[in-house]
Amino acid sequence: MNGSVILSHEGRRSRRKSKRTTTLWLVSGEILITAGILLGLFWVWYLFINDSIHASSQTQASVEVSEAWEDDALDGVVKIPNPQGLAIDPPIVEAVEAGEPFAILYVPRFGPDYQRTIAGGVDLATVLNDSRFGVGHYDESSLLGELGNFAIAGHRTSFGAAFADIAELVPGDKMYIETDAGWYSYVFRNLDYVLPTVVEVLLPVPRQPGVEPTERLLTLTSCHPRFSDAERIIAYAVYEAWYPRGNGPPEDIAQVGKRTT
Amino acid sequence: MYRLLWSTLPGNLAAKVAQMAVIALAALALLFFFVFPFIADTFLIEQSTIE
Repeated sequence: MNGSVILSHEGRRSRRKSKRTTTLWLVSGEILITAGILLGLFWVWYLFINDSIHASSQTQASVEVSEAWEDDALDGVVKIPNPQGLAIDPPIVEAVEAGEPFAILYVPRFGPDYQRTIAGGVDLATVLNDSRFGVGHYDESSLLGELGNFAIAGHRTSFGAAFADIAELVPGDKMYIETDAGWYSYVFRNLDYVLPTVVEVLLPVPRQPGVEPTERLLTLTSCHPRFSDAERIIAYAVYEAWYPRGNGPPEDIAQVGKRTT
Repeated sequence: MYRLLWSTLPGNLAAKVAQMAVIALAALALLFFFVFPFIADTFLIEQSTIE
C-alpha cells in the first residue's frame, strides 16, 4: 500500500515535470517563430514599404520645389527655347547650410519621372533618410558650377533609394541638375567601385590629389553591392551645357513632374 | 503563448478569429508606424557615403 502511494506520487511528479518541459519547448518555439516573423516583417517594411513611401514623398517634394522656382522666375515672360543648351561656364551656386535644399537632380535613365531634391550635407538623419530630400551634397567637394567635382550621395536600397539604378547607367546617359537659375546638363562617363574610406573620389580631380581641375564633374556615390554597404559605387559625369531658366528646360526632362513650358 | 491568448478570448470560433485579426492588425500598425521607424532611425542601417 505504502509502495503504491509512493509510486503514484512519483508518477504525478514525473508527469508534471514532463508537462512543464513540453510547455517550455512550446513557448520557446513560439518566441523563436515570432522573432523570425518580426525580422521578416521589418525587412519587408524597410526595403519595400518604407522605401516606396519615401520615394513617392521625395519626388513630390522636389516637384513642389521646382514649381516654386518656375513660378518665381520670369512670370509672364515669353521663353526662348534652346534645345542645345549653352556650352558656357555656368553660374556657381553658393554653399548652403546642412539640410537646406538648393538643387534638383534628374536622371532619365532612372525613370521618366525621376527627380530628387539635393540638400546640403550628407547626414543620414536630416538629408539622406529625409522624406523631402534623399540626395545630399558632400560639402567638402566642389560647388555646383565651379571647376572641379560636385559630389553627391544617395541610398541604393532604402529610404527612397535615390540611386537604386546607378549601376544601370550607360556611358553617354544625360543627367541634369536644376537650380532656381536654370539647368546644368552632364554626360555620364564611367563607374568606379571603391571601399567606403576612399575619400579621394571626392577630390576636384577624383583620385588624383594635388591636380588642378580642368573640367566640371558630377559624382554620384552610393552603397555597393545592393543590400550591402561593404563598398561604394561611384558614377562620374562630365558637364556639358547650361540651360538658363528663361530658355526653358532641356527637352529630355521637359515633361518630368508634369512641367509645362 | 498563442494558445493562452486564444483561450482568453471570449465568444465562439468566428468571434475569436475576428478578435485575433483585429489584434494582428493593431500589432502590424504599431510595428509599421512606430517600432520599425524607430529602429531604422536609431540604428541607421544603410551607409551610402564616403567617410
